[in-house]
Amino acid sequence: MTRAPAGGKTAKTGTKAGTKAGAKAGTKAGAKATPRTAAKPAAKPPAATKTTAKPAATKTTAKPAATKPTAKPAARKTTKPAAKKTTKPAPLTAANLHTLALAPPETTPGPGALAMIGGRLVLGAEGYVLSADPGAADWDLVHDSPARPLDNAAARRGYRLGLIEDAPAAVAMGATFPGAHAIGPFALYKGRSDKAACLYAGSTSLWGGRVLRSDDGRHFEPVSLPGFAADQDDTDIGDDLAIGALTAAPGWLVAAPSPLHHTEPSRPALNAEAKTRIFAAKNPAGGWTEIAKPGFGAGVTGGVTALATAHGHVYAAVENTHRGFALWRARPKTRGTWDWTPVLERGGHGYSHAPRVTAMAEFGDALYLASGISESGFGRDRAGPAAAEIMRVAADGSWNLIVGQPRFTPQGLKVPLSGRAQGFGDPYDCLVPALAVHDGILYAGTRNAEAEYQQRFDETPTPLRGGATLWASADGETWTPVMTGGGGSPALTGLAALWSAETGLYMAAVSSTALIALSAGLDPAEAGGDITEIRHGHR
Amino acid sequence: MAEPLFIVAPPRSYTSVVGGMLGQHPQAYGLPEVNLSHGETLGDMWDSVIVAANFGTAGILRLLAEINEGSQSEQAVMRARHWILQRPHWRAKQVFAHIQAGVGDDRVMVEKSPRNTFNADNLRRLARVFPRANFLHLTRHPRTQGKSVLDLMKSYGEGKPTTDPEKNWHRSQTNILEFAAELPAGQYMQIKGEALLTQPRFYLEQICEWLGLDSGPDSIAAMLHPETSPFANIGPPSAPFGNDPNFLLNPVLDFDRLARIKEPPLTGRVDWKPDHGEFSKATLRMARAFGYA
Repeated sequence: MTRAPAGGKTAKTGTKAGTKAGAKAGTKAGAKATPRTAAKPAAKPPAATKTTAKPAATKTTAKPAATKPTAKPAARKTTKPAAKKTTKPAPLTAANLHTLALAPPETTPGPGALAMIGGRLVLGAEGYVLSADPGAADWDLVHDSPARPLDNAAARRGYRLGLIEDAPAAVAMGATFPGAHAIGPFALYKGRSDKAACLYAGSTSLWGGRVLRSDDGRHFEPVSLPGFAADQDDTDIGDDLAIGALTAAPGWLVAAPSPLHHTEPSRPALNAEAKTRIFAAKNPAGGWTEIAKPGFGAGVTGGVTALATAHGHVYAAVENTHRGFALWRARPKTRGTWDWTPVLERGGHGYSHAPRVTAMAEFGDALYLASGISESGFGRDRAGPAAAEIMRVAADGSWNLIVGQPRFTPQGLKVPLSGRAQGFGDPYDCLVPALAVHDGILYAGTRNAEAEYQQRFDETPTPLRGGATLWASADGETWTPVMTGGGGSPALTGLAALWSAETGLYMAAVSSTALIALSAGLDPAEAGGDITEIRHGHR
Repeated sequence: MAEPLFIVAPPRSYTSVVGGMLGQHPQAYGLPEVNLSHGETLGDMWDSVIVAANFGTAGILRLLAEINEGSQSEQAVMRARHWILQRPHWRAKQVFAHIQAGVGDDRVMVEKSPRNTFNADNLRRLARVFPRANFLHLTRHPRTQGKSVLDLMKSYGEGKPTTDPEKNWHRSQTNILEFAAELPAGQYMQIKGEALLTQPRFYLEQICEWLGLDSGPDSIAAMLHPETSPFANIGPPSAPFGNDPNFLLNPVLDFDRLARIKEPPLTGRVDWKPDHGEFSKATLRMARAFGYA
């Protein structure tokens, strides 16, 4: 590594913000700004029986007395996307995976914050971007977000997020805070003024989230105004602090403000009550257009947690902690706002146990999306516990449950077509932070909380259990594990991001040093932050 | 032998009407409230529910009279009582086997005693007897359920409840969820009573698909007439109920009225609370997970 990330340095050394003002700004920015670090296990989940769903179609409880059942399960009535490839691809295996590089200590990438451009790996983290040659061990700090003096508005926002304890005091004492405290996700897109496809990134900042661009993975520049302000003089950025959703649609780069959560998970997101907004640009450096009426013209509130493009539609997943996520879609339109229509509501009828979509990907002309509550399985107002689910939306708007709890819905009976219950049958697989298609296979990376519950609740230390799983499917319905149990380390709790490139499938795998310390018989309280390693899968 | 279906819900959660409908499926048999989970043996059950008089014992008496003699006359009910008192040592499994033989081995017994949910052990007892049984968790909005409880108590002169209906709602739901977490996915399903009753044909078809029962139009039509059940009426003097008395008095479905069922808001003042307080956070959290907003 050529230089320590400045964002992390500010956070660790406790400069102005941490020591002078007595504010939490400096001490929390690096470690707690991103939503993923906030949640801690609140209570034990239900008995950890790893279950496999019993699809209704296979049941033989009763034979019809006289007439043969004519109806097949509704879940099968919807369109099954046609497979594009004629030869059946095979997924990677555990033997194909190896560790490529270790990121600097306490680098925790957010969802989707791993990419490759120009043959270099790019990793977005807490206010900085790292880049590395896959063949070398060193990371370069290629983009940094220097600390800025807190003004009243930024300090108030920091206070509302739990990042700053005393906003007026922080301002009075001249406390500083990183200009951006999270960078990611990434998307490749070629704008009109781009010579080739560039890497675009969303950023999170108390001064308003922005979209960044890089043509080489080394130099990043902002291409949007903070909070998608109309112009330089527009200082009313509302609560649009996080640009956490990006997708490259044909001819458009689409971005949206995302929810930003308080460090206390029981609190609502900062922009939970604000109407949902979505922006797009043909040429991101040349200006952005709001492509949806605020709240889709239907009063929808909440931030967008994921955007994706599938079968000519742009999909936007909106968080709602009490009612369950909503999924809307529209076809890109050259002029005016796009015509958005609702596709899924009430979290696919998982309600408050499916408040947010964590990842989406197009596969076989269908959209696959993963939902969940949080890293711990508990959410706002201690909703939960619930583990991750996966749903599939066909081009005609019909949908199926792939992984999850069977349910009755206004669209018919939904049983998991994979035969796997929530969390692929593991109640501790609370989230699927990453979905990616590589070489004709759909991959899903999980976030597993079992070892953390062990750390918190088991009085007698025992060998750690759990660890993230990488699942693969060639048809979207039959899933096989590629990597289980964190690849042999239960402390490897999450696969935060996946990126498919010609050279293979890349994974940002996050391990908890507290859990590593625990498994080594040491005091976890003295451990540092997370460890992120890049794993590479190829044949 | 067909696996039974247990409709699990707190009292006043539409179990009578939903149980009545599902019980009229040609491949099913709807039982009145038999309360057999409320003890290890028939004697245990009898002793524990007899204090509730007609609300506790009438269901099993009417059922035994019906399957033993094909009649629910006062004399048949008296003989059913005698039958029970001669078999206090019978375990629930034996009693259920007797009932199953009476209704036919190929028919799905549909059972809906609210007492099943009074503690999680009752539910576990059912699962021990029928490890492959299906459990349909029928939910109702805590505001309308609580009001219904109070209205019924008022109608039958039981005065004010000693506990807040909200607490009972929450306790029963907690028991159900705790038990459901132990079941394989697919053996337990949840449905909002309001959704089922406003669109009965649509959701009954889904329930049939889940259970592997015929979901053709004739079967659906049969389920829309719970009044054809031998238990959908007031029974003989010594066993008049065995089900929601209001349902027994008027078991014919009024589809127009059902279609008008509305879900009230979750938040806001609760009429029956002395200080007009609101639902607890725990109740709100649980109700939201059921789909109430």
